Amino acid sequence: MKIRHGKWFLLLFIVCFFWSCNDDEPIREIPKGQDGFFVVNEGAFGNSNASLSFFDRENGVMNNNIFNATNGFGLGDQAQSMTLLDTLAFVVVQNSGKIEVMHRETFESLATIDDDITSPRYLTVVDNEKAYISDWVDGFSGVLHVLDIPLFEITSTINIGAGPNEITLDGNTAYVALNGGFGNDNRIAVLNTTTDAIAGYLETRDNPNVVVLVNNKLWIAGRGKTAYNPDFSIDEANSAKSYLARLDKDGTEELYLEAPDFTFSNVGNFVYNELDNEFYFTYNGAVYRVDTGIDAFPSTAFINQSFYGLGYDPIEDALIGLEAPDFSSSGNLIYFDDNGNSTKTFTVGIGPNSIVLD
Amino acid sequence: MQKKTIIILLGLVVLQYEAIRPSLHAQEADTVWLQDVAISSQRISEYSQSANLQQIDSLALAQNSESNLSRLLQRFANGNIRSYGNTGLATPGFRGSGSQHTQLLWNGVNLVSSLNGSSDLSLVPALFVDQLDIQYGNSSNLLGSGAIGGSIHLENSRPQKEGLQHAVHLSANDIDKRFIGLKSSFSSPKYATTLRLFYNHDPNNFRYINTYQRDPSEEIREGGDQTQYGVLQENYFTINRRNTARVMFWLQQNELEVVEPVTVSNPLNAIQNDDVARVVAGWKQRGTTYNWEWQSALSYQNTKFEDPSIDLISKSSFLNHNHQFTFRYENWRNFFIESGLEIIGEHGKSDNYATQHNRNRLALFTAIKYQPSIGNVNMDWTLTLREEWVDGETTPFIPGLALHLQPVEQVTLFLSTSRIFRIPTFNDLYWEGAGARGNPDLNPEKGWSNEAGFTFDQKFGNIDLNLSSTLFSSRINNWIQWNDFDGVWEPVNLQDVWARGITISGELNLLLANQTALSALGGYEYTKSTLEQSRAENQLNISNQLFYTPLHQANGGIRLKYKKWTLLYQHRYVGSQYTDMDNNPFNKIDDFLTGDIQLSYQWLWFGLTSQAGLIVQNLWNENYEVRRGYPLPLRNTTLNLKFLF
Repeated sequence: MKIRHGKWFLLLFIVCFFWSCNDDEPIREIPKGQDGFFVVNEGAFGNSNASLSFFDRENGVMNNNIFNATNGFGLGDQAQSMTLLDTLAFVVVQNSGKIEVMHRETFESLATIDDDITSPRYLTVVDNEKAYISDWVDGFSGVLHVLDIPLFEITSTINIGAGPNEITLDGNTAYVALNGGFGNDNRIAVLNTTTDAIAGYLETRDNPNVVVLVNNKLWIAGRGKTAYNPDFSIDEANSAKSYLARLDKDGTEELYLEAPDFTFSNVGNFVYNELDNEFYFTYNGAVYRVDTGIDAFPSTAFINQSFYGLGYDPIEDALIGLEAPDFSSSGNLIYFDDNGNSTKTFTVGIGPNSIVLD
Repeated sequence: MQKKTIIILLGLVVLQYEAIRPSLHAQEADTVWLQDVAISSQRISEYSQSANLQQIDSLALAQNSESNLSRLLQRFANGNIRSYGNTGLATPGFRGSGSQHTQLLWNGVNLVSSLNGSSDLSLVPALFVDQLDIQYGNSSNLLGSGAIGGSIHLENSRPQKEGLQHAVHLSANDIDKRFIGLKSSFSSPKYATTLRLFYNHDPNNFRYINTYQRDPSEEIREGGDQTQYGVLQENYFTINRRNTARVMFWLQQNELEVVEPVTVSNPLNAIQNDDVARVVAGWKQRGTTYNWEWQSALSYQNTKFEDPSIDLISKSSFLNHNHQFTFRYENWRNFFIESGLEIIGEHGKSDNYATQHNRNRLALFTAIKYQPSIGNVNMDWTLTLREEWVDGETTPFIPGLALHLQPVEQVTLFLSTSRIFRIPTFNDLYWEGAGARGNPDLNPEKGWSNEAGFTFDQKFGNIDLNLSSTLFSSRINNWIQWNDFDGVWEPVNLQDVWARGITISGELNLLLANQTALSALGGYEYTKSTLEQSRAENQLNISNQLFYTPLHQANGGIRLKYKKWTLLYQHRYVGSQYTDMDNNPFNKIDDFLTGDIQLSYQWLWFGLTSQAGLIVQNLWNENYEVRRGYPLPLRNTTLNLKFLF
């Protein structure tokens, strides 16, 4: 009896084994960036020369101008960001007031979303049906558009505050950093993604640029506030330095780290490295690296070089610096090892500001 | 593609009448000593370092008085004009140089802004110009700072016909541009005066094809409305046989909507208002072997830039005064000498300067011309020297040497070399703003410019043929460029540039029977202008072509004059242009071909001498642009009417 049953179990095991080896089933989840990544090249403001690059990891090749080469027309003016969803790629082109939708793999243009959009910054996918688009409008107000993804149409618009930037999702809650745009704001908007209603605001320091959710805490990089004297020197009495901050989800400030100086180059390009539980950011012509246990603003730079954007490649576990030499020349994408030494460089488009893992 | 090829061939074969014709006349003037060329500045006509002086035909000026300097130069001149569209800022870029490298002079007074070093050619009405001369290349070196690519000379002249004379100019375009002008002159043996008034409105609402989108479609351009008013009043005094004097006043207002590229979804609501006032006064005495001339001028411009959408009002102004004294001694043992002194005071104010800035400049210059003959070969040596002090400090000494040889009557060969330079603008030095600041430690741009060429002039019966060609090479070191330093833009002496190339031009005039004349003319310019050295850390883009500098340009045209009818066809080819220092082919502007046709007729109507002209611009309906994102109008038609009484 036992043996007979044993045969059946053996047969079942063999079937399951071969079934598990079926090509249709994923052996493991493909990590983001396995195939490569996109580089968003902002272009020079007012020069209509924004572009996209794609790093083909298998061949180790950086392909530039992929959108223009595929579609015969340029992205437009000031590509700010890019978001991927399945086969779709949404490129947010701020000064052209539009979202270019292209096929993620063929780079073929599928649609242009420009109705009701003025000065878009970021697009965040809520689910397969809905996305939010932050829009600076005139730079002093700000809205969040609700996008119907299948229709590529804006279905509603929510007044949210000045200079809405990146949107961070947490379950059915969205956090939107209000960086003031051309003015000032000091809040994080909290949105219910089910009802698209504003649930409230978390008050923070001046002009939060970006909010990142790490271990249930809201990490914020803010640009502070800059007022000028009549001679355009910084009016320090009425200014606030840029900063890093950590809030509890209820808005309680747990950490506030003020940058040491008033500078034109504020804390920015806040990138989280999930593998090493570290943040990278730029400040005053250098790159800094801190872990989540930080309790003081770092005094030593990780890399003493100025970058227009930063990125993190989880496949190579490496920091990427995006250099924009003069906005009339190509930018450079530079890999750095764990010691802050550059290891390889690729030429990209004008004004690279971010990478998007494929 | 085939259509384009045919049109290119036609354009090169059918030569343009207006564009280059006068250059050869000017060349003659250069080589035939003391032949009187009606250019008020002697430094232009007689001490030019080369033969590259182009005088735009007076008929072209008269028949296009509704136009502006930008359009005139685009149609009739050989150099490159960089334009932000139909009504936007237009600046010259001659011989591969930058937009700040050409002087714009009105009766010898430099109109270039001390603040930004450029001059907007679209704001100068053609009605205010009697004679338009263009010097290309190093021939402008005696003019001093900024005359690197060349110089543009706007001249006014004493009315010749005695008594009162009036001309009313009316113009309307099917893209809603309207122009009204009045020119009234009075002339007597002792005194003459001319009064010119104009009103111009161009709403900039023209058709174009938007190629910056998924599905290119015909659209109407928005923004860029331009309204202008102006008055020019001239007074000419004949004191006696030897002494003449003149005083002129130019007042103008411009109201301009700042135009954005078509790729920008949310156009600026910014308005720029300019108030312009210019005065020039001069005295000239002409002796038998000498003459001297004094001239003083004031040039003022107040600009208010207002963008209500971001609550921005920015004001700036400059006031320049210029005093020149020139003494000239003629024909002493084949020597001709001109020496002079120039004093320039520049005063600039801006909301982006901490305080008003002033700059005092003193220049001494001398030109010596020696014209010997060896056997049958006529020779012409010209040595020019200029030294300028800015606030007491010396700037690069500017020597120049030119040789013209005339081995046979029909042929002139020439060689020239000259130093060139440009001092930084006030913005370069003193700008203070959020995210940008000037650099008071900037050095002048400087370099050398060399030219060589020939002219050929031959008559075959009733056919007059002229050909000329110039090879040019200029090196400009310490080129000033604004660069981003950790989020702050600042100008630095960043790069060295080498501009070189060749110009070729030809003209054919044919006199036929029955009051008929046929003229054809054309030209070609090849310009390679490359970055040779950069002081940027990464040494990017070495050997790349400068942006907005086409390698190839050609123009051609034909004019048929029959009794009171004139038919003019012009064709222009501008090669593709890079728009960034990468020379990225995806960002370049495509080459284009445009053609304009103009038919004019003159008749008597109730005692009025009347003239009507119909101009079809962009006849072939080419969709084109000379600045990325700033398209120019498709085919459009202008009707001009002129009444003389």
